[in-house]
Amino acid sequence: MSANILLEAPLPPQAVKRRVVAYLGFGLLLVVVVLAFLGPLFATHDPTQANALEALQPPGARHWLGTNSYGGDIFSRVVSAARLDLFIGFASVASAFVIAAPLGTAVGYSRAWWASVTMRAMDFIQSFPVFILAMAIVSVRGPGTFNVILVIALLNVPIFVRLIRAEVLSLRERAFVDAARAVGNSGFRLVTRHIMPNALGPSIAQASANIGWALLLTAGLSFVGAGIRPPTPEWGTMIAEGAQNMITGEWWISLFPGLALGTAVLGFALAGDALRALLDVRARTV
Amino acid sequence: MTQPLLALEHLEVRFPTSRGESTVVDRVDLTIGRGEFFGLIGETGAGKSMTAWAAMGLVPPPGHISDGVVRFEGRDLLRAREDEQRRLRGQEMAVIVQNAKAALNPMLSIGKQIANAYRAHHDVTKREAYECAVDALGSVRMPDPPAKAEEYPHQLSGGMAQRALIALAMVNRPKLLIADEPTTGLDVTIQAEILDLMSERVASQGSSVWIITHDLAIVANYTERAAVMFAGQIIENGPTSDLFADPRHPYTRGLVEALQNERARGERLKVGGAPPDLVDRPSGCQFAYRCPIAEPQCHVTMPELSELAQRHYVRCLVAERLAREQTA
Repeated sequence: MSANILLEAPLPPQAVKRRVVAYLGFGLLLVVVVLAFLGPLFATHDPTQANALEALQPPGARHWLGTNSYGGDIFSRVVSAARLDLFIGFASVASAFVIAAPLGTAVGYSRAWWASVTMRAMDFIQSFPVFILAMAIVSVRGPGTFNVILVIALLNVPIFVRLIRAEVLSLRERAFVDAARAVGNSGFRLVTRHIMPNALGPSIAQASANIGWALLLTAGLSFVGAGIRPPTPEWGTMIAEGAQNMITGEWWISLFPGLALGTAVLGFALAGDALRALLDVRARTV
Repeated sequence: MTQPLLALEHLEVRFPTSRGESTVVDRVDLTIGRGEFFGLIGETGAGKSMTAWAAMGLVPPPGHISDGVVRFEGRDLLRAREDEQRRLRGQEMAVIVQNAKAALNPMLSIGKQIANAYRAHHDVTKREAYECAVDALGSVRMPDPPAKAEEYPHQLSGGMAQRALIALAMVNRPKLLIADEPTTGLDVTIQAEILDLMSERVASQGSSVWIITHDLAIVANYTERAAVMFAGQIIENGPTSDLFADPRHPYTRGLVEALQNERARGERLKVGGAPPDLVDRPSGCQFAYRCPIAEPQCHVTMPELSELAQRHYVRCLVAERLAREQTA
């Protein structure tokens, strides 16, 4: 892959490196997304089926990645979990974005008192250690997919609001906004047509990294029992399932879901970096 | 005298600073007639642009218009309702700012931007508005208007962007076009094309142009009447020919002589130095501390604009005295 790039154009080494990293990110992302859509098709066993006779088998021909303490097939569980994990990641970040886009734009554009009040509310949310807050909310509302999405969305809103507000603050002083105002655009048109579309670029790049972060948080919550409950396949839950087996040498139970999680997070992080470079019109470096 | 198109009466704009209020526009009186090409000259920070934005009722916060009246065709613009003000902006008066590239929305093609501006004031379909936009680009002599309409601001050269901006400002056929340093950063041949284009619009549409610049050559070549601004005040205002042939204020004389000295070196009045402190203004004439012919009284009494020749107003005690001595 990299050889082709080197042949077609005399790019500087840094640009080549950035391209390779970008392709790697999008490649990993593609694998994870395909798994999310088609995962169950690859599964060799029923991911939730317990089978006491085949418990704790090491990776082999019958169970490619081994089995866990109740005989569940790790491979089938890892590929099936992609759908739920990615759904939680996308749904939470997307809902945060949908709330934060108009809110961040309004807060950035307005000079009224409620804009500062909103920002102090964002400070309030962000002043808690993320994981502690997430655990506290889930323990009040109870575990489950919907509550995990809700919590992660809540934690993501301030991040996007800040990012969009910062963009709007600088955009609102830009000459083209003055010019648009001077030709008679109303405040609403100014915000929706001229300011908001220009303010969302950095957030879109941020969203990719935040989905990776949401995956980690989901896994973390599940690991401590505040997220998705076993036997539903979910990477964090599965890492927890194998935790006590690590000491006795059954490493495969936790390792493979961990690798899947790490790969997905890395994919989103690299893709986020590449998107950031791509969406910056002035400096298309990828 | 017929009613002027735009009249600023005692307009005052203030900005709060940590040390107190800064008066960036100080009791400015100006009129612009129909079909007139008017120039406003002044050094950086003299308050030229702020006067223009105030005339449109768009002083950027935290600045505010603290006093004065803006009349457009006799209507009090500052006390008009918000939707009436908005109708006036764009449809009756429009502004062209310096650095055209920054003044265009990077996310919209220029055709769409012009169409949006048209639709802000006309009830037409998107398609019709877009056709108007292409026509507008043609009227500013943009080569291949349909193709250029699809381009984005970053694809245009500085001169092309400035044309696009003029098309954007002119699409609603405003009666007054305010051009704030419209040719800064453009090379000389393109400067001339842009200015010719604007004076052509004045002639063909009967619009007025108010050009704001620090380039005296532009004022000398294109305007019929001009005013000189210093420290937020109009210090001299008159027909361009008089202003250049017979400048009365020492600051104007310094500027005009500096322009002539580019051709012939000789003795000239030096008017260099920094602008005065606008928060804690000096008493008397604002220019006195830099003035080569200042008299003791200049540091005490603030001169008012007075008509020293026909339609030629000057804010200078010494010039007033000289004019009196001449007639006596």
